[in-house]
Amino acid sequence: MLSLTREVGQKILIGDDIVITVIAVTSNGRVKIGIDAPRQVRINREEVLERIRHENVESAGATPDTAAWALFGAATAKDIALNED
Amino acid sequence: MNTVIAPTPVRRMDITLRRDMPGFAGARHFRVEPLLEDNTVFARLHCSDPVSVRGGESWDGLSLLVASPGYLWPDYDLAIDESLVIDLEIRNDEDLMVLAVVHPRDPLSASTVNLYSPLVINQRTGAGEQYVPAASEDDVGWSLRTPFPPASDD
Repeated sequence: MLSLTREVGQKILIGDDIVITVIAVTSNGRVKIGIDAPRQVRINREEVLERIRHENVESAGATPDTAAWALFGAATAKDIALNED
Repeated sequence: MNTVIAPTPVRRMDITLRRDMPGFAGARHFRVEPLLEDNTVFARLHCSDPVSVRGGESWDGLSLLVASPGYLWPDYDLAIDESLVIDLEIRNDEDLMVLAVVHPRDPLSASTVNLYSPLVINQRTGAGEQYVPAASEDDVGWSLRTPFPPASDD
């Protein structure tokens, strides 16, 4: 992994159209970073994406088999509040 | 586009995600199959692609239960990135279908719903993506594990 040392206000350029700026470093060790990138480049926090991956896989693993589908829908709709407008 | 998500009926349709569903490498093509006769609230989302999960394990026949959140949370709103709206060519509210993944639990009424990062779909074209907000759950105000609203006593 390439490792660069930067100061507040300095930038890193990735390719022609991604610019990363170190905006601030706080005393508790947090780093505030600004990112300019084309709109098709998705920018996500790694731990957020990891939690979504985990939740998706757990949800699929807990999902009933085919025979139980209709039953699930009907039973659950009866037990929870619906917004009927 | 910060928009309140109206109760949108779930239609039987095929959707194509623009990128893999997080956690499932290769998961792009899905069929939405309504579960209730009146096409409200719940659908089964069935993936026609072979997928692999972390560690290389292969899954065939990936299925998820999804909910149209407007039926359950009348105030559910979503601040969808402008870039996603443009990428999915969503022109107006009629194009927009939002489906949230349900995590089934026992009893079923204790299940939770991922309102933080729902699937955003253009129901005119079938193009979609599981939305991953740049903002945190606290900032978005909707949880990855939102309990179903409790049934009223009447």
